[in-house]
Amino acid sequence: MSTNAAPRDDRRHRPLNPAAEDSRHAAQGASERSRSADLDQVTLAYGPDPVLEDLDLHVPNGALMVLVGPSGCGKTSCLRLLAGLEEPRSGRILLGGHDVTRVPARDRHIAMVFQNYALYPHMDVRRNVAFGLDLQARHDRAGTARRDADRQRVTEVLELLELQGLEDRRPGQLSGGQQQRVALARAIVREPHLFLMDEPLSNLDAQLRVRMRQEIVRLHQQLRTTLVYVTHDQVEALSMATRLAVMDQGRVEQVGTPQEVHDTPDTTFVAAFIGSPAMSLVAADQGRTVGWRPSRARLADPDDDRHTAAVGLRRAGHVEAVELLGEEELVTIAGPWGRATALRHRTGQGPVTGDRLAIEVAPEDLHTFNRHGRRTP
Amino acid sequence: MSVLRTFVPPAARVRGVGVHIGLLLVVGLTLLPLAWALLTSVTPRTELFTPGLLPRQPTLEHYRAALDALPIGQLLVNTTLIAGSVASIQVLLATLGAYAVTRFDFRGRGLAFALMTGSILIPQQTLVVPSYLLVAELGWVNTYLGLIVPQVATAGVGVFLLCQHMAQFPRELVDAAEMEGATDWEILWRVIVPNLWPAILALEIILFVQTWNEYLWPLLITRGQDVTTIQIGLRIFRSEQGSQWGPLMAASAMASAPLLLAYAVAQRRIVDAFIRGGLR
Repeated sequence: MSTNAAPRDDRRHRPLNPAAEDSRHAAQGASERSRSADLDQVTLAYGPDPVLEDLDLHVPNGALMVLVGPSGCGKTSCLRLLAGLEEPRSGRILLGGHDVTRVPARDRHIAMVFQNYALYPHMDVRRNVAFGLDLQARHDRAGTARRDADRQRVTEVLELLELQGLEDRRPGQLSGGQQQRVALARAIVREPHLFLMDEPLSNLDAQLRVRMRQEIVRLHQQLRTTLVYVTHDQVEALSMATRLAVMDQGRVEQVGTPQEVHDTPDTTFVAAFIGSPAMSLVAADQGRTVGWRPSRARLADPDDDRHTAAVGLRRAGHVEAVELLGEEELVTIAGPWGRATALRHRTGQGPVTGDRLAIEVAPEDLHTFNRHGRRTP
Repeated sequence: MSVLRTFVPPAARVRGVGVHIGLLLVVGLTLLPLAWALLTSVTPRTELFTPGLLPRQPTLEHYRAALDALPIGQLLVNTTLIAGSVASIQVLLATLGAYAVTRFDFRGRGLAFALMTGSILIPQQTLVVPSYLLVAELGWVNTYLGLIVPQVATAGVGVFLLCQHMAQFPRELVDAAEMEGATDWEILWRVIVPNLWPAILALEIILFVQTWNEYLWPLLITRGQDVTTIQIGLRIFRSEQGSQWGPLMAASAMASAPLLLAYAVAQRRIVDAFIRGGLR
């Protein structure tokens, strides 16, 4: 009775790869289940105004792609489109190069982790994790061999996420961190083509968030399956991504490695959004904007302008705020020209609010943007 | 249990006493008819119309008379069967109807919802004649089908109630199940219904009690004692010559006993269902 289901079982017996990949760029070493994902000229609209318009996004196979942007920028919509939970008004959705635009969510073999975990409250941990496999086994009229293999796999994944001993608990009896692990286990157990995570860490406290962040990166390296991760937290984005897409108002502002996006922002929006502390931007001539990383700026005597020729930019004003960031402090000075920030090491006597001070930036540290906020060389 | 007693300020204590006196009054008023009926059922016929609340010589003669006159066991089985069927079928239909209009976006969804819930507004009396003609035409007079089917056909309250609950049901749970490969049917029965049981149980109880107490329709559609309900059976103690109060009350007591007993046993669960079902 079980023999007819046997050929379908082989992928289930494959053990989880115990050795973590040492490369953060797992693209070359993606598992054979993993797929690339694309949004191709996608428009999504609920009413007359589109949420996303003609949006293109390529997620390379095996990547940990982070979509980052302020709330309402359309990043979650992108995720739901990939998932099949939303249907685009126009455009195509590709999975491993195949058009899945009309394929319902249940047939896409994609796993999603939701912000509030979306665990089934009436099922214990084991049944929550096993639910997807149970459904598949049922649909395939699988025999006992397959069901035994499924049970074994659930046990493995529970161990992988250190959930042993909690199998019989209901989600309501778990801490936030444990619920998070169950949600991850539920996604991993199905060996999907693609993982989607929608702000999965936003309900955790700060310490746990950092730990789970590392944990998810580790899992990604171990599973070698494409992961699209949505967050509004740019620190999370920079620290986790192998590729980063910054979104604003339904548009993709920039895509690249986290280093590229951080070091050479394409637009003033990206410049202001990515990096902590944010890039300091001030108006320059002809409608242009110049910016710099506060760590690259230097505080100087406002009346001593002897070096001005060698300096790319110099702004003098009064100290408006001094924010303690730990080893360093962020100094904001204000003048009729606007506001500028510089980071300084806390050595010796620091400036206090009201002091007159200048900020100087070397020419090579300046980023210039045209009147449309686009980067100019 | 805490060793320390919670401090209650005097004003709050006085208010608490007041509230309890009010509650006791309400309980008393609610219990009075029941107590009166029970006392009447054990009062000898000769004492029935004499002053005084308690019978001087309590008797079970009315119970004997009631049991002689009526197949009470049979009637209780009938009524349970009918009320159970009507309530369960209505709950099933309401679940499916509510799921359809909350989950699927189809042409005419608003109309479907309006038609289903609008049936609440149609008074039963206006439906009696057409329903009777239809049932007579089908040859269902004096049958269980004739008793059950027309009473099932008004699932408006159920659809309305369950729609509220399903609309509030966390969308992510449904999304999660869908992404895990669940069909719409599986989402309903394996994800939504197990989480809505308090509301569903509360609805089942309301519909059961409502059908149990139904008088007009069984009165019209049944002849004799074979397929009728307990409420209709009780009629034989009332005649143009006057009512036989003793046997009537004895039979009523026996008719209410199963419901009261069921409630006594399942009280916690029932109250819980009503609270969690958002129905108070």
